[in-house]
Amino acid sequence: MKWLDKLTERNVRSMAQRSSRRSFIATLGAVVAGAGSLPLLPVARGSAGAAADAGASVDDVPAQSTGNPQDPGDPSDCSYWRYCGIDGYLCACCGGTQNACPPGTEMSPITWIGTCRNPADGNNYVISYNDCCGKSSCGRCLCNRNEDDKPVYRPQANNDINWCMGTQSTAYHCSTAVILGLALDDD
Amino acid sequence: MNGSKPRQCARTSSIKQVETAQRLAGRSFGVSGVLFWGKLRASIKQVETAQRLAGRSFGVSGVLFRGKLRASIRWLAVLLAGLGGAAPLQAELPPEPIPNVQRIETPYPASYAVVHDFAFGSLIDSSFSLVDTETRRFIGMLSAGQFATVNYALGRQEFYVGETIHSRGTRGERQDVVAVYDFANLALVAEIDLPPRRANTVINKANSGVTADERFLLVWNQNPGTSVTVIDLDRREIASEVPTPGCALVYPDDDRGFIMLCGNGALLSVKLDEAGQAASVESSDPFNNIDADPLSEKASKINGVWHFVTYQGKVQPVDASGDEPVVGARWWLTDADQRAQNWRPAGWHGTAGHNSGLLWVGMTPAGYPGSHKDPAPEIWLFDAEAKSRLDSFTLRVPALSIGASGHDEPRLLVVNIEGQLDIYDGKSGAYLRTIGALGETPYMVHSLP
Repeated sequence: MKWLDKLTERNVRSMAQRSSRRSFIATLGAVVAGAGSLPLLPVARGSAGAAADAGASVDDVPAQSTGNPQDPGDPSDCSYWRYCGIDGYLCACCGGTQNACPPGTEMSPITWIGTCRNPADGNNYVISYNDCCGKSSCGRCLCNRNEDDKPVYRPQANNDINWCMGTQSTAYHCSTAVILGLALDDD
Repeated sequence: MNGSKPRQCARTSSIKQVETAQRLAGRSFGVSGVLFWGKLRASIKQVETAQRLAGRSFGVSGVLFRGKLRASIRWLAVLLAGLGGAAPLQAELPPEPIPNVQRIETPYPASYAVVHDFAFGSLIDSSFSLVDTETRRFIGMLSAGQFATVNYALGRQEFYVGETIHSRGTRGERQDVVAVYDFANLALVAEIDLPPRRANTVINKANSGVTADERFLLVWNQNPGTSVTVIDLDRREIASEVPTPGCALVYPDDDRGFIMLCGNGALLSVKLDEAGQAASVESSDPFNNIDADPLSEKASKINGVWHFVTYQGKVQPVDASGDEPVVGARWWLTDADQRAQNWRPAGWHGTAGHNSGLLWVGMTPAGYPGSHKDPAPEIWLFDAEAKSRLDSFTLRVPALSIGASGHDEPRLLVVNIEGQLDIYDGKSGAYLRTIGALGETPYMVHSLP
């Protein structure tokens, strides 16, 4: 959720702006850059992958790979193909992987599903976004993409619900994206 | 702070020792700031020495702090007297009471609003901040557990916070509860235990509601089967649980009932009797094509009519003012040109309403499938009755969620993507002021009309 990352980042930045003479320059820069930067603020579309790594800060997570060319992309990056309907912290950044919960958490047995297209083989896959439960928010790699998202009154296709149900604890930690299988064609 | 509480006599005694130490000091000092701080430190040392000599040790207790404070105030008075010549000292400041907790004047003015911090980085510790959008003052806070909701009853002057907690933080027994707080003190006055199945979702105003007569609080359950718990606010206990399979959320009608949105595209209308039991449960014909262009749940009520917007930009009015809900004719927020540019509704909660007939909708350009929760850089203002756009405003900072105050001249309240609350003139869109530092991830604003 890029704009949410921005939210925290900007809170800090705006505090710095208010407390320095650079405020005017920063404001001017925001005005000049505003039109171009605003469209980037909505849902995360990835952290620009390798390009971002060149200027990585200590807060960035190291790039990952599935090691499988049939499963391309970086599971710690919001733009990873399986995350087309995800909303939450990426377990791959929290000690788990794209399909495994971090140590000491419990995977929710029920969840919502999305259909995402694998760019490597062009197939659509049904993805299960199982939450990992029992610890407080992981706080790393927040990612919110809503391409298949429907309102909460269609729960199986909604990513606002805490799916830590049927688990020992309802505390939400992070989300995975598990392949269930190939999606059937509509026709 | 020190855990031990000195008795009153000890406190009085300590203050007297401080005063005695100051009188004994009885020296004259210059006026430089550096020297002043040196004297202040010296005076504190004298106080501490006097206390040690008296065989009493208060450590860092409030008593010693008070003693130091008094000492420093006296030195400051001496210093100012020196600077101002022979100006006589006024009577000394009176002792102040401890404990001392602020109260809030009630009823609240229309400028008060509640901002909900979802605390995404620490979901088990969310909060609601009460602020004055006119003065920018922070009035107080309600603390809450995870996936909390807030409602209020003006007639009762109470807040109702729905929350889920575990007995040991992130583990232990799940406890769902409605905590009742009074307006005047923001103090807990009651707790109503719920069955452990209240819906846990990212902030959604429609997860709970209060009936129009303020008799019942409605809590939507999802675990994952759905139902509504009806709470009698007179007795502060559960009156009933209404099974509502396949239907979600609660939108109070103007009677003693509510409507829900269902997964088959229909509405469910529930009417309650005097005891809070379901007197009738009626389903409409399906009207909401969820696959093609679903109704967003983030609706606003204007004069008894709920105004939903669809993902693509139509308004779906549902008149909830009569005996049964009436699904009205849809109308577009956008004209053909605007649709060609893909202007669409956006925001976490991107609608706000006012009973003068005004409807505000957060809008984003270059919309796409999945843009329905994006921040909204613009607000479009509509006459809901005439179904026409009155104006549009570009926001200082894009909006996550919006609300409208109950003023006759409404204020538009905007929780922006920097986590601040921006206040605009609701009609002209003129920016008025900003309130910041409202938590980690403020997501929602509730006006208190």
